[in-house]
Amino acid sequence: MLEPILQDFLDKWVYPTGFSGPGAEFRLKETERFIPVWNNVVIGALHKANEQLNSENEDWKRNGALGGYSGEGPHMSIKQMSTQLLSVSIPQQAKYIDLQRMRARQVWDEVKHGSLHADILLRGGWIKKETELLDDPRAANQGDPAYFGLTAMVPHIHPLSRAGQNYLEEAVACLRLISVLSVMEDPLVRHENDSQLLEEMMHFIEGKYQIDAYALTPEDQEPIKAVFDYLLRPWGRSAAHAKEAEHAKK
Amino acid sequence: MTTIAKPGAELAASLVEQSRMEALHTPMDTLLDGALAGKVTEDGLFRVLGRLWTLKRMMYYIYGGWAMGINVNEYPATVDYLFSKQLYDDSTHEMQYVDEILRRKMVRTQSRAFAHDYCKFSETSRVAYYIFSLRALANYSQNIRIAAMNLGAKVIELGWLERLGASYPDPHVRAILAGQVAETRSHVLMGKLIVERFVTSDVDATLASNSCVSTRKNYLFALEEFSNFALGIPMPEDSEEPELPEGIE
Repeated sequence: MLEPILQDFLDKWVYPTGFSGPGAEFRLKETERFIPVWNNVVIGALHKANEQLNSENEDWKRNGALGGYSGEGPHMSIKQMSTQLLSVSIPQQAKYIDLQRMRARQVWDEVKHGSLHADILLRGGWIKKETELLDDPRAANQGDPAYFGLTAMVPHIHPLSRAGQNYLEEAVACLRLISVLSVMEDPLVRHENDSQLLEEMMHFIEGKYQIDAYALTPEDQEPIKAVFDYLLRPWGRSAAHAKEAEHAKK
Repeated sequence: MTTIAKPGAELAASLVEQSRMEALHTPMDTLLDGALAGKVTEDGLFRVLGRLWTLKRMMYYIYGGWAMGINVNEYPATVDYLFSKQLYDDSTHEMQYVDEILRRKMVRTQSRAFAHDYCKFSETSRVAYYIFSLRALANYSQNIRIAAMNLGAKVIELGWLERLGASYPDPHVRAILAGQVAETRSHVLMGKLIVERFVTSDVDATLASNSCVSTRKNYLFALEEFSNFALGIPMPEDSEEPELPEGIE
């Protein structure tokens, strides 16, 4: 049984496509593998948000913002996204310059998301200035270094590898944000989540577009599939999201 | 109210002033004079738009390399916020140039623009010389490369954008260039902020100053190619190189 939030996401954003052909067919076939993971992400996010609503203190807000800042704050985002600009070699630029353009935009988006997390910490009174975060290791901790390392290795793999990350993982980001927003009333938390939702959605759609438009041959599909396979391994990031949800259900 | 320390304020002011002097008359002003005199044909305009587009699209590689060299917690977030905006702005400017090439039907498709001689990235061009010199700035820390780029080449770019954006005879080209002024000015201001706050040692100040001088010269060197190419003026000897700053061998 699919969660209504996921069903709505699939109907609105995953299944409709302006393309036909091998890229879209490949994506839709691969998507079948992600649906259980995405469903668990929604379950886990809803469970966690409800727990937070019933919490006796607001530590979860601070911890969530610190985690967000470390994962997609200005420091990490500029490291993570800059590698994507380099994943297209000069001879490939005629074919893939749109990827560089989209990723230039994504650098700016992700860095701004860091400022949303900083807003929580500032307005919540946990810090007085963003520069204080330079002294807090929680704001710079790489919880999943292999995920960020995968991104950094993309320039050495294939220009479309990141499209796989964007499609699978930015969908996770969207589903989490939508789930949280479905139960949270707190204006500060809504600001943190709502303000980045459209941009995360755009990153997901970019992944979708890039697969549909460019992954037309087995050679171009293989590196994307490899990223999907990796992320779905027991130690991969998407599998980890699903495990979180299992724990939440228990 | 807290006062923010600006140990590099004097250096920043000095670099901006030096670059402004260099920006007073650039090869792009020679192009403007030619255009005002009716000497820039549609083909000549294609040549300069092609070169400008090539330069901007190479910036993905420069900025990607520089950004990879900013380590977590090395600088306050301000440095990342400002740099990522600059990266996005220059990406937008890159698209504006190729959009104009396509709008004027100089070529029919973007892929044909890539293949056209006027737009190709050639390793033996002055665009390449300038791009290679920028890539080498990745060897330094972000405060030094931003001093070089934003208080050097960007000040010169701002100067010619303002003048061509106000006076270039073709209204579409004029609008594109005028439209890039505000963002380029913000890059200069950002460079000023970075140098004022984060160039804190004597050695960094000297490196910033030297890098700014050479980046300015290399940028002007590339612009000369743009202007001459558009106006059909033969280039000086290929062996000509910009003068190195004093003290560098």
